[in-house]
Amino acid sequence: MGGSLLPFAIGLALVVPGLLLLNSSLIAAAIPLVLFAIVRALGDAQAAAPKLLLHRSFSRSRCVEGDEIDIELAITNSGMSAPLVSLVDRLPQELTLIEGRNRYLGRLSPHEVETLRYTVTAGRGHPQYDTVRIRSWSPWTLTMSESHQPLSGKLVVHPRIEPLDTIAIRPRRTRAFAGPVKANLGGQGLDFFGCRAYTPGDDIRRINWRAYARHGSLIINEFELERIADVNIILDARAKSHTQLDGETTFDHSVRAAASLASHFLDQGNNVGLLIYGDYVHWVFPGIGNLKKERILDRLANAKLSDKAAFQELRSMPTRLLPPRSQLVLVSPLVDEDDIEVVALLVDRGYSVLLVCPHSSALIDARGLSEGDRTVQLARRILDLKRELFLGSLAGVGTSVIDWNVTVPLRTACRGIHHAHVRRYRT
Amino acid sequence: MMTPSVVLLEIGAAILAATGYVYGITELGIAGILLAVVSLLPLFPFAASRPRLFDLLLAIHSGLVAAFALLHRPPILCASALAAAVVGWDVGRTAQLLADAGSVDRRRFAASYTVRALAIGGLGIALVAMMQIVRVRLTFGSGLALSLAILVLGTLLLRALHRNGPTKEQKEQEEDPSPQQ
Repeated sequence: MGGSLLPFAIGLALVVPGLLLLNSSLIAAAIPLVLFAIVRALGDAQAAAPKLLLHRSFSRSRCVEGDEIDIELAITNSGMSAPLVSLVDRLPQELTLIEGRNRYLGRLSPHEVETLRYTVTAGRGHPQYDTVRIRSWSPWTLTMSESHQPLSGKLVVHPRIEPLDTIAIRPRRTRAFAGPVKANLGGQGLDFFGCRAYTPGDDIRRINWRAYARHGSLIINEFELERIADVNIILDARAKSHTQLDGETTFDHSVRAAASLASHFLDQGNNVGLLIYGDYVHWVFPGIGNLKKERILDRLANAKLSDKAAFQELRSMPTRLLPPRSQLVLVSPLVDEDDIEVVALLVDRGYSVLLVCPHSSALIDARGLSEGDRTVQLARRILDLKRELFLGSLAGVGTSVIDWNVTVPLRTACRGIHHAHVRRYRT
Repeated sequence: MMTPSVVLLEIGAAILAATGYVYGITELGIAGILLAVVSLLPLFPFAASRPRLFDLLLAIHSGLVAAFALLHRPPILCASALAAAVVGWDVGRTAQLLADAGSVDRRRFAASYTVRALAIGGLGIALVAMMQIVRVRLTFGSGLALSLAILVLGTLLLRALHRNGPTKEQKEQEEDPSPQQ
């Protein structure tokens, strides 16, 4: 629209002095400008938005980050004119175009159908398409009109899940149903737990005959009960806890770890809940089954870092949401000294805490930044020592720690789990 | 599409520089050369997202043309320079709008668009040439008639702009591009 205003304004600015000074050169110079403006204004008056029908389809609407999705956008000219159309199917920021084209420029005859096909890779999140930008040029003039046609479309991209080996957890309380978690109670199970006097009704196959021969009274063997447990995964989403280097953050790794752990514990039959702490208190109530897994993954897909003042301290974490004496899995690099105190408080309250701690220094190693530069090497060494002390303090308060170098798979890191040195009980 | 635009702007500047030297107005000739240098700016990557740059170039061209016209240099040269500049300005702005289109499509579109824009510019120059041949005498009466004609055209132009401008809803959508649920 404004395309005809500037030439006309300049033309007018030449004509008016030309008329006042009776200078024909000024008036003559303005003629091309005024003519240009008139032609465009006539075009504007006739220009009408093209009647396009758009339909977008996805090869799949739910996927895992890094997966490829094929997208088709069918453009049908339902009008009677044949406009020249420039169309851009704008990608949400989580998607990256890897093949094909998401834009079109050409003339569309009436009822002609043009299909754009392209392939994208998806990043974690809920990518949402909203509008398609359409620019059309009238057939015989130079005028352009722009419009945004609503065409929504939503994808769900979950974080990538890594299969894990068995992770030993020891919550103080278990549920009533059989499962994989050792309940610290005698009964039926696989691992020897202890002996006790025989009582009528006990299985005679469990009588310890050697003990009977020694003591003269019937004694039976007890095995450790295995039950399901409440496992609550807490993802630390505070910006101050995470390190960012060249666009890669420990937070992305933490999200993947939380997803893998949730999937692992759910597959074992446990009650799993999720708390994302940082942006807001995003809470998924503990539950079992595939539906719960989908809910947790959906929530993790949207997890983002935040530096809200209200959530800066781990101390403000709403522990009332967490079932008492359950297993907590805290996924966080934990850089703040005060956090040790909070973790100790959780242990004192009866929670069993497993800390999955992604290395921020591993990001430095992955890029080879510490090679050759002595300052970086020194900084790296200080960071490692500080971290060692930090993790030692955490183990000292009764926390099991998985020290995870993000350049190796989480599965490997889980094999080197450091169990708590002490167990603290609240009296 | 940016190259044809720059070529046209350069042609406009070259005409002005040459006119300046031929008619012995060295200052304006140098100004024309400087304008030719400045007109190369759209070729740099920073210009891709600055539509105002073309507006500025057109304004400078117009200013220089006005200076020549005030000194009663041949109208056909002034009109040619400004016609080349306005077509270059238009093609450049369109190139910015099409920056995200595919290169093959863009090349095809660029040729036809530039030809059409040149045709309108050529028509303007032809009108000026015809005016010189016919030798319309500029008097108070003809000036008044011309003023009225321009006034009417201006009104029509503004009405057309008002009618086809973005609606209130479109403006709101542009200001707040929140995704639709």
